[in-house]
Amino acid sequence: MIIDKLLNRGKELLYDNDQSKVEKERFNAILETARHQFEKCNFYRKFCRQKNFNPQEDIKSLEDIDKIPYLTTANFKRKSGRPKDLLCVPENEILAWTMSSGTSGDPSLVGRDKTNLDRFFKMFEFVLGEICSLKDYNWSLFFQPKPQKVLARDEKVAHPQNHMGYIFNVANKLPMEKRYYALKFADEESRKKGKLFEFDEQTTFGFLKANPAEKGIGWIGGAIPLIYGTLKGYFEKTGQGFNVGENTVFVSGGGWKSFSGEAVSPVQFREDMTKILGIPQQQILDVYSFTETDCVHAECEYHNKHLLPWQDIVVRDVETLEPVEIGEKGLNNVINPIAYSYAGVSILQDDIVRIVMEDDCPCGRKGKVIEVLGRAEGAEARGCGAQLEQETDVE
Amino acid sequence: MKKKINLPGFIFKSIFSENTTKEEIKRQDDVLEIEFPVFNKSQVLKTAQTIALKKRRAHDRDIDDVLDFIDQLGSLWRDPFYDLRKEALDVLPMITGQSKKLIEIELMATLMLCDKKVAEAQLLGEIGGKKYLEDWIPKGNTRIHAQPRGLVFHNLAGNAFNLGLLTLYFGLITKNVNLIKLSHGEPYFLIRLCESILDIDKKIAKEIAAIYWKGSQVDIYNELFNSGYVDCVLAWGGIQSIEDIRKRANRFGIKIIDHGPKLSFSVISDDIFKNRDQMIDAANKIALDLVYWNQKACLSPRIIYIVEKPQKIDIREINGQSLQNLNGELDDFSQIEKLLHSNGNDIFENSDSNNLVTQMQRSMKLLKNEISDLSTKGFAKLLAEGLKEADIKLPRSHLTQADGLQTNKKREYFLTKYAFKKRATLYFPTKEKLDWTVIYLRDLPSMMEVDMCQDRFVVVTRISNIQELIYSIRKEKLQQYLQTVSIYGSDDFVKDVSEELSLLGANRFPRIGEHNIQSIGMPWDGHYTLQDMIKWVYIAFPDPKAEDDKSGRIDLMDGVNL
Repeated sequence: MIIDKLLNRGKELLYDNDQSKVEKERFNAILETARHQFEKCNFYRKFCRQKNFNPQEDIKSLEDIDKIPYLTTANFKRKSGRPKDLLCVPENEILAWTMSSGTSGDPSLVGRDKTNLDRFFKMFEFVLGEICSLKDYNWSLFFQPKPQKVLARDEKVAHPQNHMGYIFNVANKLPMEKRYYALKFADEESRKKGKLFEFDEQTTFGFLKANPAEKGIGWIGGAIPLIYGTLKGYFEKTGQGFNVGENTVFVSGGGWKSFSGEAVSPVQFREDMTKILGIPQQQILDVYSFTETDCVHAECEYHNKHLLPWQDIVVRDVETLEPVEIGEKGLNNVINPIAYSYAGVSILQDDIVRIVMEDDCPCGRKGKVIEVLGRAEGAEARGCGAQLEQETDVE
Repeated sequence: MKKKINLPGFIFKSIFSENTTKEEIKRQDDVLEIEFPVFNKSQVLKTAQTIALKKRRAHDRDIDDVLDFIDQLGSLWRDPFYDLRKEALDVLPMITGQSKKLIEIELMATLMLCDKKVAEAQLLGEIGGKKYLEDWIPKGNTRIHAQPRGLVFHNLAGNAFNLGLLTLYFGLITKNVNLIKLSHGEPYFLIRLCESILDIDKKIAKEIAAIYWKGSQVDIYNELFNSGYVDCVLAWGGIQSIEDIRKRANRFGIKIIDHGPKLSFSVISDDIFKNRDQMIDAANKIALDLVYWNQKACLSPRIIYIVEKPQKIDIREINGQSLQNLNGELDDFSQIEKLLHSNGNDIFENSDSNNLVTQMQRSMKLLKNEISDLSTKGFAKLLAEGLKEADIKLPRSHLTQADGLQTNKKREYFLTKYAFKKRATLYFPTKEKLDWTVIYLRDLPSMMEVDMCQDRFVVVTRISNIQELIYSIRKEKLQQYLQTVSIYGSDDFVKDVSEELSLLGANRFPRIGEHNIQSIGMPWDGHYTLQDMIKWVYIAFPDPKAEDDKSGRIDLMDGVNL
């Protein structure tokens, strides 16, 4: 398919000065994926028909991509959604079901087959290498639970995996002995209280104190709340920082929205991490993505979140869900031509974003740059006319 | 617009504090930031202790003085130039998501209570008159008196801004003193109301405190109820919050009046289909019922049940074809007939059963109705038209960032779960705008689906008779939530429905279009709240000047010669 060709030419497209040509190729890839999902997914086809949309006729140019019917993430929810109905391939071809960590108690579940996973990891490798400048590394420290084994991308996994844990496991090129994990299984007492994992202080600080810089370049990753809470806490308590090497790259997988303690701004986070780990700020990079997509918006050294050459975005007004102009904020409708085994070509997510520039990033990479402003806000009051059933949510 | 309000707490007067919380409400580009104090346990207990000391003074106040005060309060807030009212009309649309116009209508309607004559009528309707609060009134050979409970603790919810006024009104006209815990979602209006009370009557203001603390701080509730200061709890809110309060207050034997989550809906008889103009009129009236309070109040209708006979089951059985598939293909009535005569077998001619033929004809009638306007589906279309008009007259204010997405998810749910199978049709404004949604649903909604019906989102569905509705309510375990059921139909129909549904738990049966009209002195929630907020006491013998009539009493000594 067209997307596979684009994935092979990622770098060329990313720096191509003639972006109109890239746009055309992107459009063709999106159109082909939309048609594939329309044909192969009964659920999505019905959905499109209800919306009077036919991908054979209704998309003629890139301007029309906002017409592709978007599904909300509610459809992917394990209990209240219908993730299996969203498949575009037979269920037995799914190699991995991954699920969101989710705060709602009903995680999203997405099935990916070999084609989809091959594309995903090709894309992820591209993100690490070409956007985050992390091509080779000798060690990794992930603020995640230690997986039972190293997973290969074509390996069928029996049970749904945590999305981020799975991605970081498969994408990591290192053998297990060179990987360090900051979370371990909680002891029996804690597990009885519902706590599955706990911070592995000994491994984490033991490794960090052992001068990792000597081992060469490293990749530090994980979700912001745990990283910040533990490292900042240690630093405040002891006044001691670590030397992880100035070429080590910090690629974190977001998690800002689940930060339950005192919020920290990205700028403050970077300043503190530079102080604690000794990594230059331009190597402390945030990556924005979510389970229900194959799109990743990764920060370059200027901390601008780039859209990859094949992916696109429609920013939608929160009140009308109509597309807004460039620069205006709205809900994030991700256009994902990579999705092959599930109907994910157009997903409306509940984050507020805006497109802040196009082709103008000083890093030289072309394409759109977005700013993620956080989750859509607006808690509804619960009262005498409100919810009868507790915890009822369409999500 | 960015507006910031630094709101005080109210303990006899406005109290600012260093310990505050901020609530930021974003609606499109408008941002409202409310900062308000968070009180701790010792402050709450001290406040309760101080208010409890005012119980006697509140009791001794002449009821006419109380009613005059209520009247003054109403006059003040009815004045369009009153500063606090002007501010409230700017702030409340941001908090509630309703338009200024709608807020004003709702405020004025609630303020109708704050009128001396209305309050008197309320007391007359509920407890027999204000005199019982004042004195020992002869009744038979006794003298009865309505004593206030004492200190009433009000636990507020944030779904309707008028709850603060309503709950305080109940407390004041029954001569109670009042400690009110504000809701995090709407801490604003009651504070402004208390500030105006302070302007009118400083003594009454000293019998009121309206403060906020975190609901999760259960130790405050426990110690407050254990302190002995609280005599009665008036609890508003969701089921979990109500149950929690009930559990804690029961432990200390405190009287609880609860206004928990309720379900209201409309029931329409098939008489409606006799005349299209009647249908339009009814749809327009229901549309207005839906827009008030943005359908978040307990008395707002969520579902419209329409009795429509006959059953449709026969076609499915006879033709061996699913009606759900069939129905989607039908463009006009001739196609239905064609289908019924399909496969070279004329069902009518070949059938030996007259009953079957009759049922088939009735089924055809039903299908014919479904594609005409004289049907439940036709009513849903008319209701959509009505909502379109109502939305122009009384628009909602800006949505929050999450509201629109939530409405979209709800539509997506009904679309994928029902419309895919031709079991629902969705109606909404052009360009899929999110202002309102009408779902015509061929199945009766589940509890979860009923819960989705808020924010101008309504389900219209068909029932073959009231028993089917009763079955559905029982199946979904909705009995305990039933409140207002508006009814359209003949008076016999009204009485039948009222009888059946009141046995199930509903308690208020207005006409359609009158969900928001309250009969003075009648409970809207099944509770005679004023009755609950007093204690009936009596002197068991008459005034010495009156004749001592010993009839009408049980005397253990009667006839006993010791």
